Amino acid sequence: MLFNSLEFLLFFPLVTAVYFALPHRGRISWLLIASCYFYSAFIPGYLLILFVLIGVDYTAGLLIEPAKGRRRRAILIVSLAANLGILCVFKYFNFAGANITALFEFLRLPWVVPHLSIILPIGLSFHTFQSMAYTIEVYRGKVPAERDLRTYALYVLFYPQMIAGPIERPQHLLAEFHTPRTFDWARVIDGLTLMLWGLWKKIVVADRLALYVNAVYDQPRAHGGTSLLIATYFFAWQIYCDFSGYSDVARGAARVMGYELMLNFDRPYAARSVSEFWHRWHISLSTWFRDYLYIPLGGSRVRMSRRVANLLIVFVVSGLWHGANWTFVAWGALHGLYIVADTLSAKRQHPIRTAMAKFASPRVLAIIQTVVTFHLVVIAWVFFRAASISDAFYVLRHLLDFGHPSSAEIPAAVTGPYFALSVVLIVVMELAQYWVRGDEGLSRLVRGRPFVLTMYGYAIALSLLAFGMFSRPSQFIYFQF
Amino acid sequence: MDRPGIRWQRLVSVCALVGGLIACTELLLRILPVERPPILRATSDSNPVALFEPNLPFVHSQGALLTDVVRNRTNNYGFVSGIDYSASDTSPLCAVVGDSYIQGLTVPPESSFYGRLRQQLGDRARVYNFGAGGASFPQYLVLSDFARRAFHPSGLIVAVIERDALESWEQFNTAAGQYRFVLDGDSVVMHRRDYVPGRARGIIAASALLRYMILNVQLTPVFSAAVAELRHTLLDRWRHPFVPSHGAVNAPASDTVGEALSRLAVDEFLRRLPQASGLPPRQIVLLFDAHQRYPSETAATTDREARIRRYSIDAAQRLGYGIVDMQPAFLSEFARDHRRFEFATDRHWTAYGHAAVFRELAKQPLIQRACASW
Repeated sequence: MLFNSLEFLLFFPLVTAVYFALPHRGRISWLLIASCYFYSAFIPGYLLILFVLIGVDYTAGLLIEPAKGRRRRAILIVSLAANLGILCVFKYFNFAGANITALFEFLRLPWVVPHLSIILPIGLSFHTFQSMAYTIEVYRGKVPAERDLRTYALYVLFYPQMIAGPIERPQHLLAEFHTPRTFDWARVIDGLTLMLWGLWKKIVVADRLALYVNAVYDQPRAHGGTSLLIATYFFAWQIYCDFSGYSDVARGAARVMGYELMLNFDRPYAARSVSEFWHRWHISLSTWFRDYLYIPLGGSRVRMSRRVANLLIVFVVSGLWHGANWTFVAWGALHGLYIVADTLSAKRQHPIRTAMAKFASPRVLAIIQTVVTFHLVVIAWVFFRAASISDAFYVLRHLLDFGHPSSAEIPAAVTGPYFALSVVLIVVMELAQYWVRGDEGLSRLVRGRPFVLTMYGYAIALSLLAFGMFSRPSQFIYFQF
Repeated sequence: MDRPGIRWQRLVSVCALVGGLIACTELLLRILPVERPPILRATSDSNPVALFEPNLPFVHSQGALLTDVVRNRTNNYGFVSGIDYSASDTSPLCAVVGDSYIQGLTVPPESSFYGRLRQQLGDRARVYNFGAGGASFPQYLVLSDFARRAFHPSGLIVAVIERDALESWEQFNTAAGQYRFVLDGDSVVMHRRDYVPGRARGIIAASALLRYMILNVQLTPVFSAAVAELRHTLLDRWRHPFVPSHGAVNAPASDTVGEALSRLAVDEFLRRLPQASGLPPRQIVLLFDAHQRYPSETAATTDREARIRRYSIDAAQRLGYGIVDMQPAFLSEFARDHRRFEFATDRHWTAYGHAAVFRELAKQPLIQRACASW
């Protein structure tokens, strides 16, 4: 079910109303049923995959807790293998098969890996990672194994975040489920306010920018430098508004019911370095990789060459997590190279900054750093959005080729005054985020101020209706991962 | 915890604030050129052709940003043409029949292709347009008949738009006030569902905010689509549990019944048009809009609409009608100028699109002969 659909508009109040009418024990079961229904809007049969994963990891948790030594480790490995195995079959089998076939073809060996005609279960990477976090934490002894199957199943299936995160940690989300919640108007309004903001970002900004971006990136060779440049900038905001919009709705929906999900975005384009960008962008994933891959590999407490290798491994795997395509690998690798360059040059940066401080104020320096970081991120987005590596390089080569006119058209809905509207919406969104400084700021702004809240709700609702792209509810980009 | 009295006070204040905000929005939109369409008269046996109330002003604007504003009035017969029509004038008349593309609401009359044709012909001949939004083949026949009875045209141009053939049938188009084809045994008959103005029309007409949301932003089809999607996801998902339910609602169906009905509608229309208009096919030009206006749009010769379009052109050519095919014209003009032919919010031709149509129409031998002889 899409958050931006009429079905969700009916589903959410109904589920929430029944939730508060039930006692605490009944609420877990109710949310579980509601979550299964929510997931069934995509491919109902794929619920079976989730049930298998839940069964495996729930049992693994119970077995790991009392086990010691090699047995404990073996159970963890079985659990991880089950999760990664399902992920590999559905997400990476065809990608690996195509590459192996190409390699054999290159070596003139007559072997073709068969292609599986399967559809990737929606949000599979998210719930497998959340499930793995549970067994790893039980293995590490940081959380006790969950005894109640329904509560554990809800940990994997909790509908606000099951499709595209935030990827929660068991010590946080399971504790949230164990704590009885009471109805709290202030929290409900906080949650609804955040949901509205997320829907606005998705329906008004992201879906409008998508028209331009898709037109250009679907056939980049038919477009000139101006269109390529605009589409590339637009994609940076499209993906941000799409994904952070989803996270806001997810967090808002959970908050209405009394649950706090972790912050997933913290104004990432205000970052002053690529490292800082990763502390602000998709925080739940970057901290997952930090905790469960980077640190186990040795983290930063190893010699520099190993540290560089660790960083590159983490970012390449992060790229691959996003999709089974070399473009995502390249995107991850490029970010890895940015971070490595930042790490290697850390000692030389200080004198450069000191020298620059003589010519510019700290504020100007901060703006320069932010602009440079933003453009490094935008360059990497080209690989993320392009259909192939060759398309990505074509776009990068022609980004500034303003003499080359487009031979394909841009949809009229994003040209002329509607192009200006798109730019205005981005500016409004960024200014609003700068002004309120995150969703806590938004809560502070409206809490206890019914007039501000009413004005906010009216403005969002009116602009949603007037400028929203409702022609067809579009999926969130991160659903495919 | 607030006392109940204070809570009520707050609730009343918030309601008053919302009311105030709506009133402010209404006032602001009243200043802006929000769409205010002409008033459609009720249809009945005594008034079978859906016409606007005559001599009334209207405002047309496109989309949420209220662009492409047209302020005009309906003429003495209730059409939008920029001129009044005269039944007593005996100079040659070219009648232009069609749907909303010809209705005259979306572009100023002088920028339309028929307005340009009128300017080219000057005092030598008249060009009257007879358009009705949502019309299809049966209504084109009725409008041609109306033009014949009232004005005795010497030539006729009919603009044929995509889906006209399918929407000629009552089961595919239930819009009131217009004629549709209905199967009566083996024969095809024309049936009119009368248009009777409802109370909602008065309420919508009175509120700029409602007109903005319904006519400019066009929320009604969005809501209908959302309801259809909801019905689909609620009912169909369990029938095909391993098929993605989302995205299947508007999947193009291979509709053989639809194709057969479309071909039948084309045949009926082409057979009846000479009688309805009182003109032989050689004095009638059928102007076909493009199925593919731009290179990136799928050429899709396998689409039902593309096949029906091809079938219509071939059938009309065999019967001796003049043909103007806008597809190659739009594609070549776009390749040269990279300008779009329609509005941002719908596929109606802009003034630029109409100019392209006029250029192509002017190449048609019948039009060239008419321009030379009239």
